Amino acid sequence: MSLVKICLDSAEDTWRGTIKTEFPLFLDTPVVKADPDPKNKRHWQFYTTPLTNSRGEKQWTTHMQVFKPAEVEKVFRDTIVPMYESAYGTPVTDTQALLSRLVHDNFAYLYFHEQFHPTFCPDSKNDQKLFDKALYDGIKAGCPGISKPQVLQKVGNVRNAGWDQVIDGAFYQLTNYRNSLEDRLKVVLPQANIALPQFGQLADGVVPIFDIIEFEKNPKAFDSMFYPLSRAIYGLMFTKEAAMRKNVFTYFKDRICRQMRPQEFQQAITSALRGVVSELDKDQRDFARLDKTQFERDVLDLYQHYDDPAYDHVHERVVTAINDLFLDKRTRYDAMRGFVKPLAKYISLRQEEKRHGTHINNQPGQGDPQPGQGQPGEGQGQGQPQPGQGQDGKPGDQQTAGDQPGGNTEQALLNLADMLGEGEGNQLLSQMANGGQTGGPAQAQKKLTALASDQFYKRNVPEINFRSPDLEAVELSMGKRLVPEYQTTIYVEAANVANLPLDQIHQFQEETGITQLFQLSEFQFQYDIYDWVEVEETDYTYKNTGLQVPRNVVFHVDSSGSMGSAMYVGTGSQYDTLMHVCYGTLKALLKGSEEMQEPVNVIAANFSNGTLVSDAIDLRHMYDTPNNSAKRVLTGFQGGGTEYSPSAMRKVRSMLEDGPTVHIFATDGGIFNADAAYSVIEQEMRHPDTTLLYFEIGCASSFGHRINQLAQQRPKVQYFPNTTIKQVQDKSLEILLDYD
Amino acid sequence: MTTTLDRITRALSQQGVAQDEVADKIHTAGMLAFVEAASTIVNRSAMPTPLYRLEYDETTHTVDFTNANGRAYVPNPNALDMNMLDTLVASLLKEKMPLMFEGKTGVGKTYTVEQFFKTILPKNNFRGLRLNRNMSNVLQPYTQGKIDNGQVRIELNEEACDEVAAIFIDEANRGDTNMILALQDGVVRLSSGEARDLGIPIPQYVKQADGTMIWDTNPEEKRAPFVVLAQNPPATKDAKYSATKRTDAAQNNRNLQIDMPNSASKIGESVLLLDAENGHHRRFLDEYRKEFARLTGIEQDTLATINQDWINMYAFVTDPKKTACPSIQSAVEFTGAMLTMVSPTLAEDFEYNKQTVEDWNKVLKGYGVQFKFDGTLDETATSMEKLRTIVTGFEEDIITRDIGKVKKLSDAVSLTRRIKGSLATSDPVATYDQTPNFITVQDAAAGFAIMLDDKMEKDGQKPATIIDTVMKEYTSVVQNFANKIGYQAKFSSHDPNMSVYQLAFKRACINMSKQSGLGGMIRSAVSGGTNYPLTTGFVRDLAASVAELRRLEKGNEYRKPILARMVADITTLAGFADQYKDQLESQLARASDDTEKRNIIKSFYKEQRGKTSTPDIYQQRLTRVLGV
Repeated sequence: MSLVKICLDSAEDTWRGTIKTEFPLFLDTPVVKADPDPKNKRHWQFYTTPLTNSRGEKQWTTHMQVFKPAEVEKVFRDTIVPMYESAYGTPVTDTQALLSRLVHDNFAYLYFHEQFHPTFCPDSKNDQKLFDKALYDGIKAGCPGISKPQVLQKVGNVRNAGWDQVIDGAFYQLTNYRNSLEDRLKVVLPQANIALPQFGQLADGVVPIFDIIEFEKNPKAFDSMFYPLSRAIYGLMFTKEAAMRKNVFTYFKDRICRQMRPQEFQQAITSALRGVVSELDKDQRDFARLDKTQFERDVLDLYQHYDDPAYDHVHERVVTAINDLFLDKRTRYDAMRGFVKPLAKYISLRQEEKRHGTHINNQPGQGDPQPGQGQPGEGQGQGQPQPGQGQDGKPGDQQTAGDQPGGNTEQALLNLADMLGEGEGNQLLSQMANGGQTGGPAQAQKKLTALASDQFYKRNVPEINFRSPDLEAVELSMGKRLVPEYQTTIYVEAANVANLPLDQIHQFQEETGITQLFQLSEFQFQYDIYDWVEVEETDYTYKNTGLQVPRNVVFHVDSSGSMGSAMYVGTGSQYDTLMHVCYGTLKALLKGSEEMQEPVNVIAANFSNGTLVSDAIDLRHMYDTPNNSAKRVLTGFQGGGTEYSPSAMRKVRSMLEDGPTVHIFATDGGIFNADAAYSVIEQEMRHPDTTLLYFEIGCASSFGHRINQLAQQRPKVQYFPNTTIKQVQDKSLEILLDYD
Repeated sequence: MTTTLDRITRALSQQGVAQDEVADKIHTAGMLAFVEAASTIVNRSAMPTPLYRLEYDETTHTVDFTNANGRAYVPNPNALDMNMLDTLVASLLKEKMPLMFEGKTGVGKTYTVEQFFKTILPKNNFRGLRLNRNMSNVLQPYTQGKIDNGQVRIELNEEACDEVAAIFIDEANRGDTNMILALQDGVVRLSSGEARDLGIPIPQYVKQADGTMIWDTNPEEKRAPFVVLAQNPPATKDAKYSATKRTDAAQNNRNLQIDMPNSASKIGESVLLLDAENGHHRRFLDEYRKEFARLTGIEQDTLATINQDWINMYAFVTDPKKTACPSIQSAVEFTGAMLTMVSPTLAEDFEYNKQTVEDWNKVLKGYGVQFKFDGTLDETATSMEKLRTIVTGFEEDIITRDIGKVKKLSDAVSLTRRIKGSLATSDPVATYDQTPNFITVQDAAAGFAIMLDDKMEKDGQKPATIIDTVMKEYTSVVQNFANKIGYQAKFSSHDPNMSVYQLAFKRACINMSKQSGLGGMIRSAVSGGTNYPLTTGFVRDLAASVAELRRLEKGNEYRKPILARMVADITTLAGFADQYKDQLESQLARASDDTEKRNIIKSFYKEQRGKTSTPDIYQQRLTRVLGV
């Protein structure tokens, strides 16, 4: 076995031995390792995914994958060993021992890094949301000239790096300054089967080792500067001794200053560090026992004298203050806002600013990932959803994995829509949905647009009220009551009567009026035994309630030019109204489908110059995902003429499942081939169990008039004239769904 | 009859044992001899089922708990192994800890208890009752029924009331479980109003008018009957026991219920080789004589009369009052932290504690300091979800009676550890007497482990996970708090000072006088001066402790509820001092040092807590803060 593989295993032992007492709840975290894979694009990668275990519980799983151990060993030998020979406080001359110990320590840190994401940041959805909001506000303040979609894109690209800043700070803090992890490592490391076990602490500067290796493996110029700058901050913060700082920080500084003026570099680093405190109010600073002026002076002193041991105490002061502020959720978000603000301009719009090869895998969209989902993205192409195939393998879907290029902007969008309040949140969604340019990759932009549109309507459209026309008897529970139930009779000799539960018998007789103990003769008693049993009391009432859930729902939507434009989301245009009707209907049917536990198929037909017909999609899936075939057809705006192709109805009919079918037709009525369209609708209504809901959007039309006449003849056709957004929003549309 | 005790006393006096040490020495030696002799005899005819293995690491403060499930393990000097006999002994020696063994038919519940009773008591001093639906009167041994003029009359059997030392009630859930409660109270009370205390009078070593000491028996001081229950699982747990009832809640509160595993496959054919002969008690007394003599160094003949008065000796050496064991403050706090984290209403409790602090802060605003606990509890945080998954996996919620159960289990573990530890040494009596007699966090953790294991769904996580997690948080909080306020020791489960409440209270008592110093004058000036300098100093120092505790949160979700509870408790102490400042100030002014100040506050609280006018919040919170 290679040295790297041996160290990966021993590092796991070190990590588990430590968390046994420090984080016992995470002791059962599974670790998945990969076999060497020389063809892989990456030399290694480490990430965490939430998987569902056999008990149905979400369980974080750590993936520790080294694909090219020989390559990794070489970089360690050539770069890390010379730079880190004093990492244990005293120079180590045994190069081989130092090499294996540094490899072990680096992996041990990476195990903690992966575990610290769910432990510290983001440790919950709420933490993630507040964090995104902090980044959004910081970036918006740092880059006042960019659009909301661009701010969003930067948030998506920087959030992973932001989380890392918090957890790596936590790791550095807890493994130093007499904190508990440092104490525990002093016990675990000497017992570990590793080289140099006499050093009871991890290497000083262990956190940035990963980044130095990444820099070494990617010698080209940087595409953007945020990630390199954040690594320089790592080099400055996460090295305890001046001698190590000198090596590590200088390394990053020299590399970055090939592309950046030193003054700008200094300004970026010191502003970010000062920024951690700059957004805190007085109460927060008092609570943290921080003097802002002194802190700012310390930051400058640290920068100017980073390699001077006389300033080690300043380093400790600055670093512990920053780490404490990031760790404590009472200050975390304000501190992060201030930290990211001066660095905002360096955040790329095109690519995620993160360590390539380590990440926490958070999924876009709603709900938690399911087993088999959430495979790593970034560069290695394993299990990554392909275009046209969703994460759950449904045909026709286009979802985005969390770590594709462009970052986790979709999740950020969802979080920000929650956090920014109705006004700004809706603005962000509608701007995104209506084609606001993020500056991100085109494919990612397209998906974001669909997600934003979907979210806008999901968040803003209430369900439309559907009812069955029948009155139903509804059982009312009046609660439960206890009644005595005769069990058996026994006969007891007088001498044994004293052994009966006499107090209980007396109480029973008092409560029920039933005699339980009779004297039959001088020598014999009869004892009737009763038990208390619970009976349900019920009553009935009648309600106009319930809904016979259709087996098929078909949307026929008019996306001709008269309905508006492609930028319709939240504009009040006719197509916006139509989407309100569609989402209101979807919500109501989804609720009914889940209550009745009956499946519903959804088909969408979109007509303008041509008529597009989607696949038949399960309602739950259709509603939940923003990019399935039915939703793409429903939301896609053609903007041409108005012609409904009769063949579309035939295609729809061929996809229907047996059972009740609801056709929802929404148009402003100016259909060029009105006769053909009317004819095909009229024929469709001859099928049993089929009903039509016709929504006329905007002014009345002759086509609408004909449908209205049809509705007079056939109760299962319903005509809704002049439908408006207000009707949907006020919930004043009430639909009795009758198939017969 | 105290002939044997008199003879032993004379023998010990001849050895030079001081008169005032005689009773204690006889008790310790007598109890240890009792345990050893009972074990020797019972183990010849029964194989008590192994129940638990407990190991506590004093360095890392972690618990390794194993439900032995009938398995016996390779000896480990750091582990405490408890079997069924150990629990019987602990239950016998502890006050109000009646045992309830629950398990399937044939696993050895009845047999082992019968062997134990036959060993430690003569035939006429114990009773066994098997209940069923129609014969459920557990007071039967103490009553007699008569037909008097055609009327059924029940009256007390007074002789039995003074001679029955132990009762075994088998199939307890097939009869009227409520009647058992009366028996466990040690009193028999008939509907006619006739009542009598049950049990064996305990000999007392009392001083006479001429200064000499003698053994005497006071009929008012009785060792209550030792009651052991056994039953099959209720029908709700195992359908084949259809005639069984779910045990009454009051019964559950009272008993220490132990689930009995089936150890047949582990014991195997060894059971065929067990001694089947009778005469357990005779052989037990022979062993007892030997053991007592070995432990005290007196001649075996000294105990020659023990066959005649064993029952008095039994009452003395098993008197539960003599093994009473308080909890060290850190064990109380750890118990509080555990209960906080396993509470089914964790979030509500957190908000309640926060609100309590906020409400007190309004009351205490005149002190110019702030009592505050801010922040929100994120129950969706991964660590919290992990914890809650364990808690919601319990078959039943943690309820008040579980606290009692933990206390009993901790007490049982503590005593078993002390007895077993002593008997393993060359001088058991001295070792026992020198071992600190209090329940530590180790014992509390063990108590929780046993209680939670019983509540866990069988495929759930091990209880040690949740205990270790809370233990880690608790010890970190105490350690950090102690260091912040200048107490630099490492956390030790035996350190009586190592407790947040203890340290906060102690420091506030030390610092209250500093109100008169320069800092105090400045603070006084800011807040408009005060006529209550000591109370003010006390309240302000408690506020400083609260501020330190708030700073320990560090984004850790599951530490928040523990801290919120501590802060609310300490703030309540400040509120108490404020409410009673008129009375307290004058008393404190007379105190010469901080120890006296602490005692004044504790005594004052004890006086107040019984009064109807004293708000309930003090009763709930200050009892644990002040440890009284």
